[in-house]
Amino acid sequence: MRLTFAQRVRARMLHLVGFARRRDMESRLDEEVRFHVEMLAQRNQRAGMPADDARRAALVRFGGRDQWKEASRDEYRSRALDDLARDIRHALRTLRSAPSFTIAAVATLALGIGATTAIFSAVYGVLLEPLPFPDQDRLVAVYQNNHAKGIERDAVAPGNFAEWDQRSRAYTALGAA
Amino acid sequence: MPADRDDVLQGTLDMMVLKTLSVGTMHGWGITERLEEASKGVFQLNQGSLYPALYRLERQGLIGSSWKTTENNRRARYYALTAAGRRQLAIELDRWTRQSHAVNLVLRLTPA
Repeated sequence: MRLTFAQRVRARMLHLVGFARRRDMESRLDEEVRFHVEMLAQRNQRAGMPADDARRAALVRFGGRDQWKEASRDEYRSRALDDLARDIRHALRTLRSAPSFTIAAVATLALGIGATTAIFSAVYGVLLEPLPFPDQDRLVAVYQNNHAKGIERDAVAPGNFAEWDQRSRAYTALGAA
Repeated sequence: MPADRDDVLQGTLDMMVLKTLSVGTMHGWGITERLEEASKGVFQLNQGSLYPALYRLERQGLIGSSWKTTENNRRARYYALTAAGRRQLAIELDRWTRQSHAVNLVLRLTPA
């Protein structure tokens, strides 16, 4: 039966709940089977079969109890987790059977991840990481200019820095690097 | 289109179980007997297919179940149709009618 998306989602959620209530489901399975077989045996007896044959015929008619117990379990068990586990095992087996490919893939992944992480750490530390100062929006960089040489932002001469630090009242604090 | 024969049978069985339960609440054995009776003995379920179907339908929220006592004072699991099940049954019946009608039309083909 084709179900809507909502119905399938609900079914899958119930599936997961079923996984948690496995033992309840098992005992319910057992009891339902027993009841059914009993009723079938009773019917056979009413039709004239002797008691033992009636029960045996009922079991035969029931058709491979363990098979359908498996089928029932499939229906209520959390197939998702089992499928995932099975897929992972299959993937591992496949990788093991093609070692050169596996090594190449793992090496590529390792190199890629390693390089990316290294570069990112460097860039983050230098460029992206905020400076350990409060009130970042009030931080400014101060340069000196040298119009004679046409330089707008020149490194500050130590003497100038000392003067500004002492005399200037435009800044809360000055630091040199 | 159903992928294989099993799909068709499973879908049809599900539909018939829903229809049986629309008549009344009953346990697995009751459903089996009703199906045999209603189909005049054609559908003698391999009982092994009924319970997986019931669990599947319950998981899909189309039927609900609870323990009750039978007339002989035995404990049995009784199944009942839910509102969602009733709606799905209507959809399935409609689909079945259209499909069987279409098949009948094709089967009436004669050599040109």
